[in-house]
Amino acid sequence: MRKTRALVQVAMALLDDPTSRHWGYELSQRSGVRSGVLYPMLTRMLDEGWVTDGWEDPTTLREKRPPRRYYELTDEGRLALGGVLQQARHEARFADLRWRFA
Amino acid sequence: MAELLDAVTSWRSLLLVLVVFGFAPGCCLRLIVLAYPRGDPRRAELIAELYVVPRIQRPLWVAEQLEVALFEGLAHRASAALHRLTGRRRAHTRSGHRSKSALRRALGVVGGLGVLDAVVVVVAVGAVGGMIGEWVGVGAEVGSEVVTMVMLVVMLVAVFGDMLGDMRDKARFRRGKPDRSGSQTGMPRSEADDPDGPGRGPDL
Repeated sequence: MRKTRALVQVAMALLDDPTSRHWGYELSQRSGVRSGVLYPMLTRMLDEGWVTDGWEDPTTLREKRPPRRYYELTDEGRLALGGVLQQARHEARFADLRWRFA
Repeated sequence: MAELLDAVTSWRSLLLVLVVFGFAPGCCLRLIVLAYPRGDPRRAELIAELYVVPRIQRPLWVAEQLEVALFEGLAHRASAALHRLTGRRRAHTRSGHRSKSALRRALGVVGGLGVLDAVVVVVAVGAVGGMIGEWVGVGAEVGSEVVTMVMLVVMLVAVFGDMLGDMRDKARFRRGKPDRSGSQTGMPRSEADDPDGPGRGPDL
């Protein structure tokens, strides 16, 4: 996958909490990437096997709304996105993002 | 141009946009997600996400989804149609059955398109027809109408041809004869060859 600013931002948001579930809208808010870019990127990550997806259990929902789709990082995804962040750390074009790196 | 700008910036347009996106974002979103092929999990995902978007941000968020749906959804539909074409071709080759003509296969693909695909195709064909009409000298309107009419007739023939083919295959399947379409699973052709497969998410 091409290393873009959006990918680096999404990688940072995902690796911020690498073991928990991530939701599309929440991920878009935390990464600062708009949904027009985020959703196609998530599809590509699913294809690459970097994330897996699933649906909320409708019986556990308290609010009256449909179950949401979540994304979880796989081990492969953690490695790949970790690598992306490692490389991005040394690139000038991502310099203004460095302060957010863990 | 000035009239167009006036129309876009008029208070009526603003009111319409506010009503459409502001008061009925759910309804708009349900229409927007139709751009995705049936069974695509993104359909259910976007609708579910709408409920967690703060109310004030919903109109903008829904408008943003139009972009996602146009670029992602329509691309999926196009690739699904292509997949359907190549899939059917592969199925025919596998079964060794090649009696169907190329025209019948092409019509089968057109017949298998969804309603939205059909609308997109008709609009595109109309535009091309307009250009051809201008070029030939009969006028854009006549060209567009003639070409669209021809396309509609072809699509109707394709849809009914595909339906008849499916009915014949199903009847043969019920009688216990092997499926001519080459389906290995024993499913009727329309299900066996569906590249989208069953939806992973809750279907709409």
